Amino acid sequence: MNKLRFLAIPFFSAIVLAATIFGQGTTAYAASGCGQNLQCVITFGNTQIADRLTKLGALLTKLEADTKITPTQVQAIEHDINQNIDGLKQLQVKLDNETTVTAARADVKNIYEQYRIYAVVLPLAYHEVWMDHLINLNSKLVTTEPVLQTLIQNEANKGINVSQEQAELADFTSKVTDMGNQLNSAEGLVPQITPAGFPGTTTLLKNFRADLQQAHQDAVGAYADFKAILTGFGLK
Amino acid sequence: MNKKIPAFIAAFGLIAVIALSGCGSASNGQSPSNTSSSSNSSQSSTSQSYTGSGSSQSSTGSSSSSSIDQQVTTIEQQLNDQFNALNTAQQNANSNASFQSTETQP
Repeated sequence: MNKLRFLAIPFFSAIVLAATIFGQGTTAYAASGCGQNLQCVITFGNTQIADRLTKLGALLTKLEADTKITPTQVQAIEHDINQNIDGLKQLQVKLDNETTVTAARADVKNIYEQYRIYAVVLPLAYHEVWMDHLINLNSKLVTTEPVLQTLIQNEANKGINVSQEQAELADFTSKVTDMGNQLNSAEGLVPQITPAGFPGTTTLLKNFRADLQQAHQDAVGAYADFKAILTGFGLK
Repeated sequence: MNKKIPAFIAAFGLIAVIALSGCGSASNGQSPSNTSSSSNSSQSSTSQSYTGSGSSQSSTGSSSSSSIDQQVTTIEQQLNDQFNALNTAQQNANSNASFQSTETQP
């Protein structure tokens, strides 16, 4: 029994030690494991570039399939994405041709510091798509307002009590107006959100997102008012 | 008898003058008459055009109520479609909302 205890202590100690070493080794590889190995740095950089190109390509595919935003809106986002794709491809060619670890590391650093694909470009682009949808929906809701007014007036002319629908229309108008204000604020933030502005962009992106969330909520509320008016007049 | 001959000639001359004068007036009158006719038909045509416009307006007016009903139904469908696409766009944005600030470098 004592012998077992004697053997068990070093055995578990060895496991813990191995786990620690392995863990450190993994972290070390990711952080600085390449050391002075040029090919290791190049391979690491190529993997990072490939991941980013895949995600940028996926965004382009989604954009091309999106029929609810205008070609002009699509092109504006596509333009930015394509610029990043072209830049990363050029950087990859440069990286592949580097002959020193220092130069290769500088290239890899640029994947992060120059492009900020994950921290800025992709979040911004996906939120811009969301914003464009909201802008188009806001336009539709604005043109819907006079139609609802006519609908309510027509019913009032028949002697029907439309006070409930008038209140719903007032709420609809208020929400559509606020939605427009939120979108104006969001649009104003877009030019400030650039890779060069990182890490300050994190706060800007949060504000941008908050504006879009509020605009989205307004849209949902306005749509609920619209449907309530239709239901009130037996059109649903 | 001798007195009757000049009277006959005078009467004949008078008839001839009236006939010639009639021809002239007929000739002169024909053109304005045609013009007038043409003008009338033109006015009639214009009038028809107004009538057409009027009937069109009348048609719009009578279908106003059902037209609005149809409009809101169409709008509802369009809004539904826009909301479906909007929700997808929101989900995509949510998936890219982490704003990664730390990335591993070699």
